Amino acid sequence: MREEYADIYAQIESAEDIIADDEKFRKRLGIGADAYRSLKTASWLGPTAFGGVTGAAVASSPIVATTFFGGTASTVAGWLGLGLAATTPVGWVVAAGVVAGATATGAYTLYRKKVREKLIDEVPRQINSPLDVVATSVGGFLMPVALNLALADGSVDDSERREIKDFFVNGWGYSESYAERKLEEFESEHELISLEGLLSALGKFKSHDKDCNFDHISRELLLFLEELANADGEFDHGEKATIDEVKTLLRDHNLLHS
Amino acid sequence: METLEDINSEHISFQRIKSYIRNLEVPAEAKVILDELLKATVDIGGRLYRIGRKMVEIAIVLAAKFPAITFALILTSLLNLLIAAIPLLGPVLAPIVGPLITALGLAYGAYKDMTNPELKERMEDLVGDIKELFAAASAPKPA
Repeated sequence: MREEYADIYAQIESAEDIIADDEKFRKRLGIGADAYRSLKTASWLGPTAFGGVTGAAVASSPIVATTFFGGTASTVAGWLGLGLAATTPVGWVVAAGVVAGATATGAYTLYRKKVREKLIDEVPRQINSPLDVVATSVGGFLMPVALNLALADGSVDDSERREIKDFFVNGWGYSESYAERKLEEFESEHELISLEGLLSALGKFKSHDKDCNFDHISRELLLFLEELANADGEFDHGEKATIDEVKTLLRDHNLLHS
Repeated sequence: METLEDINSEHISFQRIKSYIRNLEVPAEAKVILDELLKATVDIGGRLYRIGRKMVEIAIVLAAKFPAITFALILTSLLNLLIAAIPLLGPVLAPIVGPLITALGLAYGAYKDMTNPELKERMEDLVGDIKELFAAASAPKPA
């Protein structure tokens, strides 16, 4: 390549990594296979489709045959080896309307999905949004919440600071330098940040996000907050009140179910 | 590009290219296909050339140089030009390019609408260079 590109190479090579371990980060998002639109479509349509093919009349229909199983290598689903190409919704709609067995199959599939979620951590190879944008946003909401709890007794001590950094670096996969810098920034600005403001903003972020399972993230956050509160061996009233407030706000902003 | 070996030269590290792909605003499926493109190689005279990786690297640089045109459009245009010019690369790249265009949500033939003449010329020159190198490498050696 030409010499004129040297600056571009240097610029790309020197870009800061917000995430040091991207697999860890993607796992923490809890989105699993739902990150893929093609799989999401297939899993939504699946119960109806497979219920549908139990009815002989429908199964032999050319609409169903070509629509359900028309996956070719030229479609994304075909390329990913799914063999299920939702190229047109017509077949699905027809099947959904006429097949009685779909409901039972759907319930079973849902049950199986829930059991799988409990037993297996699915980590998508990639997510839809730019990873650094999601990392900046998620860290920007969760780091101040953790610091807020550490501040419940008036100040953040070194062991709490270490616990929080460890959670984001070793737990979430953030780069150490980035986590250190952001935690310092948030600690110095803590008086300007309210839990209500943070979690309400996170609720708004959720409305246009495609890559996070907020219920999963909220549960993991609450577990961490309890660990953090117990880190010094005492779980005082201020800490308990903060965790309860976080829990209530997460529910209010539709980030945590039940 | 002066020699075929330049295809295997690395101006941007593999990790940095992977990071660039992770940070693109494109569907997850497209990013997975781009990861696969990085592994695409072609065998010339028993030597493997990492043509997929090189095309991604070139597209990254051109996208930085021509910020008004997206990386996705530059890469798919480049790959289409390459497949059209060098039939030898068809079996390696065509099975990736079709699904990539679909996953990126680009219309088939969108690359034909490349309106920036300077970028178009650069891509055509580059593909021309690669074509010559491949032709020279594939030509029968004198006895």
